[in-house]
Amino acid sequence: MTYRLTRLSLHTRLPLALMAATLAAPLYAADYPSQNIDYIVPFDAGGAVDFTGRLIAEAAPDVFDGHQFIVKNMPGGGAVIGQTYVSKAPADGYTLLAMTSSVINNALTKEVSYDLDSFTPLALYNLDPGVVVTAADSELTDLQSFLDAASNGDVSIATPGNSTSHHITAVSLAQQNDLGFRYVHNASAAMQLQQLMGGHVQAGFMSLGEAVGPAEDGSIRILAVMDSQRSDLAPDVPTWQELTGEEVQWGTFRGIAAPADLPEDVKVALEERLGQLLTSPAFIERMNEAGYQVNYRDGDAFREYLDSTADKMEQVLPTLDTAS
Amino acid sequence: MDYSALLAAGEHALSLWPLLSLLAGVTLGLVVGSIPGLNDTITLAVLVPITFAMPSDVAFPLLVGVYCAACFGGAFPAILLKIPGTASSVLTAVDGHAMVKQGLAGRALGIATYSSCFAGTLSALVLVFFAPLLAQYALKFGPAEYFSLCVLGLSTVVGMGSGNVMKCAFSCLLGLLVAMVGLSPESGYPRFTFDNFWLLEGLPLTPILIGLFGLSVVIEMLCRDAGATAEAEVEHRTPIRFRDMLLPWSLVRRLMPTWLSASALGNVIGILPGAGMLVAIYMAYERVRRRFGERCGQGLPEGIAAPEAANNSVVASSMVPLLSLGIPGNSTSALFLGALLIQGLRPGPSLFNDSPDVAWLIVICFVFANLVMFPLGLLLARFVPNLIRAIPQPLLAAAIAGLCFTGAFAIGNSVFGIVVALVFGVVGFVFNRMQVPLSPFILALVLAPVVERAFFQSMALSGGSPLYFVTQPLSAAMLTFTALFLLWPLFKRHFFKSRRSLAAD
Repeated sequence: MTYRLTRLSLHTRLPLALMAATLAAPLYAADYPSQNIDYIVPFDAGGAVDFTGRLIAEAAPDVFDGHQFIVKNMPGGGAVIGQTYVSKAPADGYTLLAMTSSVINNALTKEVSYDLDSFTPLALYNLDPGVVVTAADSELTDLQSFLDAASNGDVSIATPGNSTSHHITAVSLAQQNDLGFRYVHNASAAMQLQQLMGGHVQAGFMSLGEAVGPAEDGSIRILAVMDSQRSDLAPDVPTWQELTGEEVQWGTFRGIAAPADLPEDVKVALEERLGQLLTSPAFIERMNEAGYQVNYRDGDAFREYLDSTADKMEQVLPTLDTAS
Repeated sequence: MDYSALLAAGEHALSLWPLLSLLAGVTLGLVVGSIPGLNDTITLAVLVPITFAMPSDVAFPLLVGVYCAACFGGAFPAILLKIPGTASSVLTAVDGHAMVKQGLAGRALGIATYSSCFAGTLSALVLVFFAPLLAQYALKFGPAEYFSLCVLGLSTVVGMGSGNVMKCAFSCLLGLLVAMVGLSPESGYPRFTFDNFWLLEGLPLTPILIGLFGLSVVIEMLCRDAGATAEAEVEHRTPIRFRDMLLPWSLVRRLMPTWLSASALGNVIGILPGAGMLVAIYMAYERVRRRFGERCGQGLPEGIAAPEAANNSVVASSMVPLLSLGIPGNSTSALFLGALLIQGLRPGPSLFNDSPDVAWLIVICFVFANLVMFPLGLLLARFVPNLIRAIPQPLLAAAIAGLCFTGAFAIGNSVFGIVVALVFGVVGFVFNRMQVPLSPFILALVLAPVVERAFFQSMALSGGSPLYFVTQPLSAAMLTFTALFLLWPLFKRHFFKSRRSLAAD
């Protein structure tokens, strides 16, 4: 009898709860989100991760029941500080990390307290394949001449910094193809461009998104894109594979993650809402206007992508110490 | 040069909404600039996403206004409290505050306002007319040139701190040592980090500045004895009137050469990404010191005019690489890049062809922002100091401490910033008591990573040959200047001695 009563009362309560939930947000865990969400950008304000993060924050209230994403910059330690902070934050869905390939690099190259398993990948929103570029007036006009020059001796190349994914790409390619590079480490893509355009270095490894603009202006030339297919951003640029037959895929990515051990209902709610936000036409239009593509992948696909990238990096890293 | 497009842009900028947003931007910039720890980069990072919703002729005047005025705003606390609001006003504090102590607060603020607006307008005009030319010159700066420029910049510390070379060298070397902390730019090896990840990227600059200049003043206020309170009383009795701030024509004529040379330095060095701003103000100040010697640092008008003119020149000239080449010169112009992209524009050589209206509007806004800054700056200078003086010392100390802690926390959203600020607050206090100048420390701290990176880049390019620095003509020229700078006192003594002995004969 008691049992029946409880059931009955549940029956009367559930529709009420559901109605309340329907008013707020259909189909999601009823109590999430109930407050603003911290969106941790482990870099200084102004970079691509910060910038796209602020685009996401701008669109967030529509999807998160009026709750805001508070973008917080936690730069330092090559993103280690922000990443550590999120890895140790309570897994309640109110602290998110702007997740980039540096999570993998840092876990493999530095003494940090976290690894990939310390995070719950929620969504990937942008993939930026790596490219090889030279100055517009360089004699290295195509990939073949670049490879010839590098196999004969050494080509000076600008990287955006030691142990960045672009540096690792170059080391890996040099290793596989027996190329000689002189690594000129910089602190940003802007510095790489300046050295290329000033003729101080012969070539550079960077992201397609950073190279497209200067290439359209005719100040640099993109020799090859390291992806399985040509990019919509630069349809004339051949892939490394087309030219050499060797399958090469390297690039940077931007995604969103939460601390590990996120409660299942919160994880589902976050994934669904982020998916809704990142695939909304308005958000995609904003991103495209700002020069970024949206390549949405859900949490599981993002995790797969992270694992395969980590595998590739682990193969190269032992050689990094000697090759710097 | 398309003068009709320029004129149209000028007219457009003077219409209601662009002008209002420019005014709002300049006001906001003055406020954030004068609060230690808040700066133009943080403000723009918050504003840029908001500019989505705005038409471009409202968005850009706002952003340009903030950028121009924040640099100038830093001079207010630098002069009044000896706490630079931004890194660019580190040197303004020296002579500026000395003038305040002499009861010349109005005059000091006037000089800062005149200098900032004059040089800012001048360099905005340079941006209008010579941007592509300057951009090509900036590209010639490779690793060897950066290295030599930094060496030249560092050589200016020799003369700081009323000529006590040992104290200056000590301060400079300590700065270099502190800059060592963190990952090596070449090998990625962690130095002096003690396995503490907070130290991996080195000690953050802004909390250090807040500590050295802000908290050290608070400690000083707490230690102040009765005699010093009496000194403060003198300051209280002189409220600032507009009359004090307007400079007599004779002073304008006297400062004109300083303004011109400082803004020339600002325009030429400021366009170089990374090193520009601080090297420009230090070299401008060094010129003044060479001319006036001992009087420098004791409330010399030129001591305010030179750094203020130089830093405001850098503001407009740092836009040169962005607008002409599409390369952002510093983090603030990187945010401008973002703002342009949002509006569907891409900076670079094609900007002035593809969308001349917006391109010229931005450039012309730099001119107008500097002009608007003049009356707004004077207005602020008229009321803020009197307000500060109305606050009793203990309350003021508490308010400054509060602002300092907030700023130190906000920069990285972490308590670590506050810890750094506290440590360097004590360092700054001890330095002040020992009369060790702080400015060589700051310069070394800022230039160390640049010079180190440039050195290793040069070594990678030259295959390890140090001769590389003298075989590059520009670099060789700057190293020669450095040698002359350093050896000049010796030559001078020798020169004068021989003249004196000649006279004796």
